[in-house]
Amino acid sequence: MLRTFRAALVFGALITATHAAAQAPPVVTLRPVDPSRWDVAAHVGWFGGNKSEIAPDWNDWYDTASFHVSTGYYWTPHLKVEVDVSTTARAGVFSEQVVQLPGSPFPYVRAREHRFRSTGAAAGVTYQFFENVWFHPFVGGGLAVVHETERAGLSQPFFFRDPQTGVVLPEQPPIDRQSTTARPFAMLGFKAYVSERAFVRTDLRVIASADRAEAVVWRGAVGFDF
Amino acid sequence: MKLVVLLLAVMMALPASARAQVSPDVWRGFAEKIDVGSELNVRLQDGTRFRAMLVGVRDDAVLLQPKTRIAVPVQAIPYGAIASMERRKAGGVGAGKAAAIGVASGVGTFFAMMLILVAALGD
Repeated sequence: MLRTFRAALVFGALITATHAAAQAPPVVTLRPVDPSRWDVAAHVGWFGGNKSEIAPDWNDWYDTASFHVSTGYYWTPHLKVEVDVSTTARAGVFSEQVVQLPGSPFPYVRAREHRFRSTGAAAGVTYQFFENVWFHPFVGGGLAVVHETERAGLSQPFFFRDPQTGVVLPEQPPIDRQSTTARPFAMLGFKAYVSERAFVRTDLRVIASADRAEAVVWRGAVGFDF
Repeated sequence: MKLVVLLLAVMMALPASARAQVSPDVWRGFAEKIDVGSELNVRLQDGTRFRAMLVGVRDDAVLLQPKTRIAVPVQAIPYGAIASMERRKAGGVGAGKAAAIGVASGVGTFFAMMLILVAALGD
């Protein structure tokens, strides 16, 4: 904790020093006379969701396509606030339940598929390196609000009857639930311009909870400044 | 470890002018010997780095056109503000190569998106 505090102090000092140095009028300006303050982009992504709380190790992440639309406003040539809305296709993981039936020598492993779909919105701040060039790496962070629907067990496989004992496993109740969470995210990526205002962009976003990564999204986008 | 962090902090906070000082006359003499239209890599005393084309030479400043994505006005850079200036060697990324890289990136991005879409539809 103390180390983090110290690092924050050093970082703050650096920012302050750089800012103070930037107060002198610049000798050269690379800023265009009429800079674009907004950008908009349409993204297609690969979304990985962590479901280790219900699924075994071999199967604890599901992956699917995601679709996003984002818009950003440049406060300064480097600092941008950005919001986006997103949705994913449906995908799932298998959970396993070990059931010991009376009279049966072996336990049953009953698998069940849980299907997920997420929609959400995110707001964040990015720091874009360089000014008025063709290639801009950036880092950022913010808050993502994710609404997730989960469905599972709406049909029962036939093999739940034990052929030796004739015992039928109790039917699992279907799951159809929804949850909404707000979690911080960090991201890094780059924006590569193909013309003065149009760009392609890719980024990697990690949405985290207190103890683990909840989701990873790798996105590619096309967009333009205006 | 703490010492290294502290040293880095001090180095970054130091004004660039404290690190390098070359007489303005040196840069004027250098600029006068370069053909107008040449491409230069320029670093200023305040740490700014940029690529520019030499447009003209004045007694007090060199006139440079920075090579930016969106064009900016020609800049008069006082010789005293220059930390280093060097002519760009030929053989860098030319316009053709840059265009090819751009097209390849675009096509790659397009196909990556198509693959993701196909994967999504197939799921």
